[in-house]
Amino acid sequence: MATNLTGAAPGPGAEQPLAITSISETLGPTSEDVSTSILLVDDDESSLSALSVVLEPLGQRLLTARSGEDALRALLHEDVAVILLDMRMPGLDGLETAAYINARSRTRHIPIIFLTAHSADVELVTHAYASGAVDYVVKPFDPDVLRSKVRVFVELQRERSERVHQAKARAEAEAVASTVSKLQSVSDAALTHLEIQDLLPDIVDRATGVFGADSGGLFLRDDSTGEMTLATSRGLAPASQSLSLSADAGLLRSVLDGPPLSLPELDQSDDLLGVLAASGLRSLIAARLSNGAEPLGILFLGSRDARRFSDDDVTVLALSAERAAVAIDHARSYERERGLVEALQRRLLPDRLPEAPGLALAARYIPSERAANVGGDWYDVMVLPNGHVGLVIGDVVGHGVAAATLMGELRAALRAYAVIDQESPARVLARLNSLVASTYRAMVATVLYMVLDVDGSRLRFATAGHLPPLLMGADGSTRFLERASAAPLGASEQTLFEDREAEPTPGATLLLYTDGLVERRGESIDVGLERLREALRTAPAELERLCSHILSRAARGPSTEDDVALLAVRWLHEASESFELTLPAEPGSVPVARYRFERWLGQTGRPEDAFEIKLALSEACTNAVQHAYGPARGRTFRVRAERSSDQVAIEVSDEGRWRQPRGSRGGRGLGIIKKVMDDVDVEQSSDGTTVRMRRRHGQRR
Amino acid sequence: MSAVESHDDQGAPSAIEIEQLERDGVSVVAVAGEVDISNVAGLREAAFDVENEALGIVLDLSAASFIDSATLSLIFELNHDLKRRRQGFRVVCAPGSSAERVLELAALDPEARSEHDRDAAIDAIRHELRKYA
Repeated sequence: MATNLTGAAPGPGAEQPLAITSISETLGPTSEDVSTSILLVDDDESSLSALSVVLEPLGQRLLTARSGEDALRALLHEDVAVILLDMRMPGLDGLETAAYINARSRTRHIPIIFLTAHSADVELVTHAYASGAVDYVVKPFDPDVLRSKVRVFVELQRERSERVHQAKARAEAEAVASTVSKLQSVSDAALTHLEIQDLLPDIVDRATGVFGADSGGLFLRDDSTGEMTLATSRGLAPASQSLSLSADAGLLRSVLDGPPLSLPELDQSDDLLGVLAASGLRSLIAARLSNGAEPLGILFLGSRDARRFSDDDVTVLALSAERAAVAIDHARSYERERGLVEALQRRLLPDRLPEAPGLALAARYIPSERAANVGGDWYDVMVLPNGHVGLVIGDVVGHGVAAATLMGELRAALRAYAVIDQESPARVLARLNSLVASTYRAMVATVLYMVLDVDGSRLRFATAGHLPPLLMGADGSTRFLERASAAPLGASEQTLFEDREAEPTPGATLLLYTDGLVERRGESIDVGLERLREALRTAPAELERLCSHILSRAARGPSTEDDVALLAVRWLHEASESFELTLPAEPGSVPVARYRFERWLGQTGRPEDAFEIKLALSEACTNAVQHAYGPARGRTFRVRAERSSDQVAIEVSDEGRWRQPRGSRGGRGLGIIKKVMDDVDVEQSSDGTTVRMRRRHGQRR
Repeated sequence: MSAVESHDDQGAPSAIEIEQLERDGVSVVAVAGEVDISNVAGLREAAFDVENEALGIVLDLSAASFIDSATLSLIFELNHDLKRRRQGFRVVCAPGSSAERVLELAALDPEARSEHDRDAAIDAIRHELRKYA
């Protein structure tokens, strides 16, 4: 065996046993291998046999080597508790062998007991101690003494191995726990946000948090330009916050392509590092945001003080970046789909409403804030060849591209059938139902279709599972038209549709809407319908403002769960040149009077005329309510108004006696009235007080 | 149309939304919607709920779509009260808005003059009080 030593093995006197050291670094003992082998080294076979016999009772594994070289080789692979080493051997002698053992970090700790046959060698033991020996035994040895010496070392070694093992296990467990919680924190960002603009800052916040970094950021790559843009950052000077760099070269490229990077001290030769250093960073670690495919960008963490991030930090950052990439990818496809459906949906809705004589029209479509719910709601208004006006509101069950596309087809089909049959909404829906039931499998849609006669005197409609339209008369009374409805389109080919009628009056307002406006989770639909009724009753007169008011009142909530479509129709006045209203003398009547009056007034004169007339009316009503009766209840006041082409005349009367205004406050309302109106007159009598006022259009005041 | 409306059918008082916040030591009260006698009490309560330490009050009417003498009375009271307490007061309204028109009609005290944005109003109060200090 002695001849088998590799050529790289050092000869005697070599200062550094390089070959052995380098190999040993890669062959560290595994923690499970709690060995208590005993290595016996002697060139004399009979000595080895004798030693074996003496030590066998210890119950440990005995390894034997016939030379120093042989022993060193065995130590490459074996973990040994104690070495019994003969001083005199050919080749490497005992002292030389011990020197090598002592030079290697992996074997330095192994106790060596020298064996010698010559008492003269004992003086050499001094040298032996320097080489790492712990004891010596002179041959012929006393078996009991030898056995007990060796037993002590075996026990020591076993204990030591166990401690090392435990410590390693604990350190590993802690490292795993810490890594998992760091990764988990970054992954959680993906669960918390679906919208990318919320997700990105949260990823950086979480990453800086778990790594205890004072700054960090996220570069995203623009696929079309190849530029990297700092999408979000934390703790950087503002100068760097709108940073865009080419991803073709430099550090960005190398991180995009390769392993994560750790720079304890930024050098400023690189574009990116220059900018980051200028914004206060001294150290950074960076990893690419890659989820297997083309990297999306780079996640980096920085420190404003020089800091050496640990290797573990770098590894965990790389893993975190992988998780973050999955989340970003997901959020992006979510946004893409939402954008696509919303664009499709908007393209399929009318880009503007037609002009219909005698009618004012306004419509809204609000896509759901949850991307998964976008699509399928529609409204439509068409002027038919005979001059009738068709109104449509509908909702395809389902969401996304499929629902939006089907909605587009239904809208076109309904228009076609509406032209073929201009009189009966029920027949139009019956045709549409046959089409849906025979052509589109498993598709269901609700639709409300209405036809208004050209002279505005009649309204016919039919419903396929849709919510009832809400009608408000010019006097403010509200009612839902016909709650009963036929089944939705596509439910059955046999569905029978019926025409219903209603008679709108001038000044009436009609609302068509989809369920997203009134439905809220965990609430009866009736509650939502009542909320809508209330919203319409308190809405401003002008139709666009009315729509905004209804959306904010009826659909109010933390987010729009479902799409909302809303179509509002107003029958304009032609004949009604007068207005009359009696209300309880209570503060709550003042806005009611103002809204009703505003609705009646419509587009009279210039906008500032309308506002100032309304202001004067509000003041006169306020006076009637506030000053006429004191605390008595059950009294009323009356508003009358007339208009002609060039003026509006208003009379507000109550049955009480105005108290003398106190100080300047009470008279302030009358002062305003006098400033904005012409010919103001206050008539007080025992029957009550009447304020008469007039406003001539275009008059200079 | 001449019948007395039942109580049920009156409709709610016009809805307003009031926002209160503190900026640079100045208390800001912003109101959105139509303010009149039916709801001015809520605004009054918010406006008078000002800290003694506040430098002053900014009443922000930028989002008020209608005001009348009910709001004017509140403004005059606030102006009087805050002057007595050596606190600043400014009204903010959008240029060309109906609120601005009502303030013009009322010939508001120039010391409580209106500003066109909230930041300018806050700065004006801070500037004015620094003068006294």
